[in-house]
Amino acid sequence: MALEAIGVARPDSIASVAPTRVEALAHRAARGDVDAFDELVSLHAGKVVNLAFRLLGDATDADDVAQEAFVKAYRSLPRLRDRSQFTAWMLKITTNACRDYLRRRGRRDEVGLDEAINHAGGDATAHVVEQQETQARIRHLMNTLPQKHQIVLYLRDIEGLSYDEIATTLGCTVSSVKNRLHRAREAFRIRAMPYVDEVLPWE
Amino acid sequence: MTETMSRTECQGFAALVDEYMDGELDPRLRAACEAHVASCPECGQWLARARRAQELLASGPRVEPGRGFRLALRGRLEVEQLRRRRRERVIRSAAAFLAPATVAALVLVQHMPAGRDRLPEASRVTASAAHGPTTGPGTPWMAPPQTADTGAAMVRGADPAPVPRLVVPSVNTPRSRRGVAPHIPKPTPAAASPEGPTTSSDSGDGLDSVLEAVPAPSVHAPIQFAADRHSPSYVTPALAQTAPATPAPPLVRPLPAPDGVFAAGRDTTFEV
Repeated sequence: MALEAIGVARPDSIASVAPTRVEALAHRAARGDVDAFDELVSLHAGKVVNLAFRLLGDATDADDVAQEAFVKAYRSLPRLRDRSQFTAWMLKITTNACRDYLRRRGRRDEVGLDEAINHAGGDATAHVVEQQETQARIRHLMNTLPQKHQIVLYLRDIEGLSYDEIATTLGCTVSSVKNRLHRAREAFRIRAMPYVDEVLPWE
Repeated sequence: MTETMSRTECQGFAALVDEYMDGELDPRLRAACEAHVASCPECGQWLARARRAQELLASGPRVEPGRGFRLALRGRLEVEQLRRRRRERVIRSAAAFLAPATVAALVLVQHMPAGRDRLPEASRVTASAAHGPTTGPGTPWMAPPQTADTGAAMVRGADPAPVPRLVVPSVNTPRSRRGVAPHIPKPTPAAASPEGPTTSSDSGDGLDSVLEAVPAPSVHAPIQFAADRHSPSYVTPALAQTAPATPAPPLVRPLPAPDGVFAAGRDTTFEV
């Protein structure tokens, strides 16, 4: 809080970066300035890699897909009309890249689930295996949601941004964020509730 | 009644539950939600499950980009930048070549004869008036502008001045192109009157006899049977040379003039 008060950006937060700064960098990058785009990468890499990791379940794959997403963004940036929406656009590109990757790899999430269970093997405890299986299921549930629901759930429930920050990131109003988040959570809950009851039994 | 009220409250709570869980409600609504959860076991249970689902979603490790992430990405971006610059250079050089070429093509098109139907006439008049008799059609775009204009005016008949003029019907035009049989004046030894025009054969005999009746031009030139003489408004080269500035009569069939003068038309060639 104190850092924000004196204008220092909270580390690893998209919304803490002034939109005008992102927009200015995006304008420069759209003209081919690699240094400006590199700065955009430094501001967004954490979010992009984590979103990819949430959707893919593997850190190495997440790195690869995040790089691919950044390169695609650099190529397509001249066609982005509203450069102030770079962050939301970048997250959309990331979810698309993840989806393409999963399509190429087949049902990666199911494979990941099996791999996780087999991989844990003798070293991992039953608790670790259970956690990995849970993560694989959550990934699967996330991947069945529409893209805009994935993004708003990620920003709120995983990154912990406030409604205002999400509105800034997505370039929409706070009431629109509320509406989207409500629909996204409803969709997620419908899918997740049976599993929630299974893995988190009532005390 | 109480059940109905409770159901309405449950619906209201369901609409606000996300903001309630996120702590984004104002104190008054938050207090109302808390009171409802306390009084409604179903909603309380549902809220607990929703919170567990949210926790499940938020659980899981966070990752940081790999050690070589930025460096590898920077390399790929620089390669992309080079490609983009090369593409732009190609586009720029293509534009630098195409822009003058396009302008030149436009200028050329604008200075060409206007219509496709005009080209044969221009070439014929050029061949006859400017270069004398030739054995083939001239090159239309090589013709001097005034000559081409004269030919076009003669074809279109812009000025129907009653100058003795021979407009030979399309005797040699193939029937497939003419559509209907042409009518040409039947020449008689006494007078070349156009009364009672007869159908001519395609042999060109009718044409020769008509030409015999024409007053001899001062400069005799042989009739040019160029490829485009099939045009219905064929003009002998000699006449084109003697009266180059005189426009041809209109191609449409004119009405008889009130003074009894039969004006020149498509099938008639002389004043009477």
